[in-house]
Amino acid sequence: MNKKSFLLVCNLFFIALAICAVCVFLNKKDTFDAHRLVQDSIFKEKTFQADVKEVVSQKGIKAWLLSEKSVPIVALDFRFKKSGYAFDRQGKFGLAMLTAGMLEYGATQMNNDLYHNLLEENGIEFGFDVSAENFNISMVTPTENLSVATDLLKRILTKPVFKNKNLELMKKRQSESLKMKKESPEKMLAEEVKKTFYGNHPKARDSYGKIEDINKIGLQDLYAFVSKHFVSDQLVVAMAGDISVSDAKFLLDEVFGSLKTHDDVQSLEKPEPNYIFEEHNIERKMPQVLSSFLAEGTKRSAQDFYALYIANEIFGGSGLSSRLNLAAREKEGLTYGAYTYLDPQKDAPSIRGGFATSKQNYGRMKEILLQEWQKMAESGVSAEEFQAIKDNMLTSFNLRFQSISDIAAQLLYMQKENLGIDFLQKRNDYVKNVTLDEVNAAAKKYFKNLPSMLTIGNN
Amino acid sequence: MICRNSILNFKMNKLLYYIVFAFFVFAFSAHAKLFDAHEFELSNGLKVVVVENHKAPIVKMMLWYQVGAMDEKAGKSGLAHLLEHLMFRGTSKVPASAFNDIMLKNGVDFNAFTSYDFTVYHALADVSRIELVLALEADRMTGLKINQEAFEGEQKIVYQERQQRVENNPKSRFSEEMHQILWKNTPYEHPVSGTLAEINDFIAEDALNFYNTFYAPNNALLVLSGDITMQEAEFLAQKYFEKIPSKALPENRKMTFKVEDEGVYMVFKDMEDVANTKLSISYIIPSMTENTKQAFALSVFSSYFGEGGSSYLERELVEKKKLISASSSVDVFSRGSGVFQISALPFEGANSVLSIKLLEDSLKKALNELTEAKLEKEKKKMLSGLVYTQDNPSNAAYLVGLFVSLGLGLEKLENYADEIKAVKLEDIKSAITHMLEHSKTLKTVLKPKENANE
Repeated sequence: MNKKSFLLVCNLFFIALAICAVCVFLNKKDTFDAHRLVQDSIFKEKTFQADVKEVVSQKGIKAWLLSEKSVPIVALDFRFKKSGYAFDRQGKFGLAMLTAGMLEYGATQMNNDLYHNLLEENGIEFGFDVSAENFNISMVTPTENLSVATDLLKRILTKPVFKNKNLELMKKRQSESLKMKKESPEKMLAEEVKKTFYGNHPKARDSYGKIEDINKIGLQDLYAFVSKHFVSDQLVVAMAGDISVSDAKFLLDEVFGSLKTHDDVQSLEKPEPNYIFEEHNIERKMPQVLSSFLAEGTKRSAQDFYALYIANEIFGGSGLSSRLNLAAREKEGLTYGAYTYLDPQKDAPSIRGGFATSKQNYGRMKEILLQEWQKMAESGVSAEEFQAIKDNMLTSFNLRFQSISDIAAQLLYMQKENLGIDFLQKRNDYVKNVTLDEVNAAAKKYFKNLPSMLTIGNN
Repeated sequence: MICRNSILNFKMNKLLYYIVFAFFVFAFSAHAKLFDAHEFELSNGLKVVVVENHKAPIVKMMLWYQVGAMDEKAGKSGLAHLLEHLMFRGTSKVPASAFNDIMLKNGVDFNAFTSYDFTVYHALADVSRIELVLALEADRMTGLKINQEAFEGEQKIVYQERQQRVENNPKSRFSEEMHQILWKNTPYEHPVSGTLAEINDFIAEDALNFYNTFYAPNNALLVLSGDITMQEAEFLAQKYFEKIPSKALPENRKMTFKVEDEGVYMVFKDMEDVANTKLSISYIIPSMTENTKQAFALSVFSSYFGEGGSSYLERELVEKKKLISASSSVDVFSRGSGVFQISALPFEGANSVLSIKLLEDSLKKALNELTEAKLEKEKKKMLSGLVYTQDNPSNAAYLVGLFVSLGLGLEKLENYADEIKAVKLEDIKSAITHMLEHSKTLKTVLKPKENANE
């Protein structure tokens, strides 16, 4: 090789090197580095200072409180346990829900118009709702109208005035709501799932009760309900927002201080949930099949709760990125969405899920569900999937503090599930401590049996 | 004794608060803005609004493109919505489902929606992830890649969505039919989802053309609401969006429309799986964009007439047991016209035509009985809950998006209370009178099918 050609080669080499460098540079500019973006962000990680306090009033009423004064509003969320529709006695199915409706409509000395004017002019909102086990009440008010709200709430809880003409109307409304369930295939399917899962247990009932029972309910039943169920030893209270500890204590005594202490309500029998049943269908003319499925899960307080939670997120709980949606929605376009979630209740914990798909897709959709389900039991999840969900759970922690009402609801949930007053400080550690092995053990255990399925419209 | 003292203290504190507050309101009422939001525009025309809320370290991002189903050409309904779906299927830098994966790993709660007027992408994120969200949003403002396989998949998915949301449920099918009659020969006529035939007929190029035409910084509004300052927002908006070039938007583009039809229509229908008779009356009315003053007047009237437990309908028709339930609503935040709607549930066996007549008569009576005093009371009710909008950053972002996207301006929202207070009795009288005399009106009766196979 002569000198000239050597130089040429050298030049070519350097040119090539330069091109490579440009390529690397361009390449680098062309890829999206999410990790780097987060690391270099002008915002660093912060944690919401969730200083939850237990306050105890002079009369011994307890509540969990998070004072947050940035917006002048106060939220109060509370429930009476053992007061939901599953506790309605024979012949009076629908009483708990009807009581909620009557309270919402106005149960004070005032006429309804005056009552609602007072609420609306003061920006006060009350909510009354029943679940199978609990009677839930929420209140939110601008701070400046807290005393008006407190006074009204006290009257409703301790000296409600039920009127016959309201009762007739609310009975009619509840019966119509019950009838209207048949308009919604989702609701019809949900009722069928309840019946199949709980069998003869009271939790299988429709929250609205039965039309013939609703018709039999009288004023005395409403008064009896309130005096039986609105008692302080079944009371759980949470508060959030622009209220100090001393004002909170005062409010507790004002609203709840004169409630009777003890109830004489029997606890529900333990349900014997039916996890394994034959697939069956509700006939209905509609273009799609809706499916609901379930399998045994784990309760909130169990050791493997977080492990199964993560496994479920990977399987069907994490929206568009879940395995179920990747396989059925993204890859094959079979459905607008499939989902799963945990219902971690104490006596009947389950994994629940559902999807909607055109009739001709149903077979394939079911096949994918069962294949993916089996895959969870057989080969578990990958380290990447596991890490993605963990990261998700840690970085989404602060999102739960969006509104004052969200915060109050969170505090009530923490009490219901016995998570401890320092739960919000510990929660991210609970998540961090879960191992891949634990998730795979949970996947193996809970995805072992294929889910039981119900459909509507598969005819 | 102690208890009584504390009641007094409580009241005293409140009293003090009222006075201080009253002073404050008195002194500054002209400047009492709802959000005190900041607004700026980048050199490429992207509008940005920042609503500070430092309660929790989170930020709600909403990107409002001023394009929706009303911008679709004939035979192409569903295109804006299909494109919205495709926006989650990859760009040249963030291919395939990487967008969803990144959002997942970073704990972002994200979604999008398409209406007749807008297409909106939104995300609620930890503050440490908001820069990432903005980078991704900027990336897909220009870099969309439509892969044929993904395109075909999304065609199927949006059809499944349509079946699930509309076709499975008799009430939603009926609403869609009524919507079509009400908006016949206007850009709101066709369903946002499109029909099966239209969805199947699309090709990837349709979506790409639509994207290239309408997705531009000068056709968008970025709202950031939460734990972020004006300076931070400005820095990030510039960093990620400033370099995106603006586009020449179609010149003859219809930004709004008017309904010329003044007819009155009535529809009776029975359907299977309907449980009871349902009534409604819809009137086409001016929207906020067409006539802000009238739209505010109609909103106040609807609140008085049929919203909430102390409304005229509740008091005069429901409590007196003429109907099981009755309410009204207005939809005035739109680029085209708006709607005033009354809905009711009659008692079983009631004559539907007479029940509709009852609602119409009540509307006139309510208007006649409306006095200055009642109006002031109603306004107070409408404003008493305004403070809640300052609590949840998502609500604030949504309100800002509506007002600014529609071109009403941030000021209108900031001075919302003043706008409501400015509504006069004669404004309401003339708006309702005009509505009753000139609006296209649709009365509907939906009944259960008598011999349904159950």
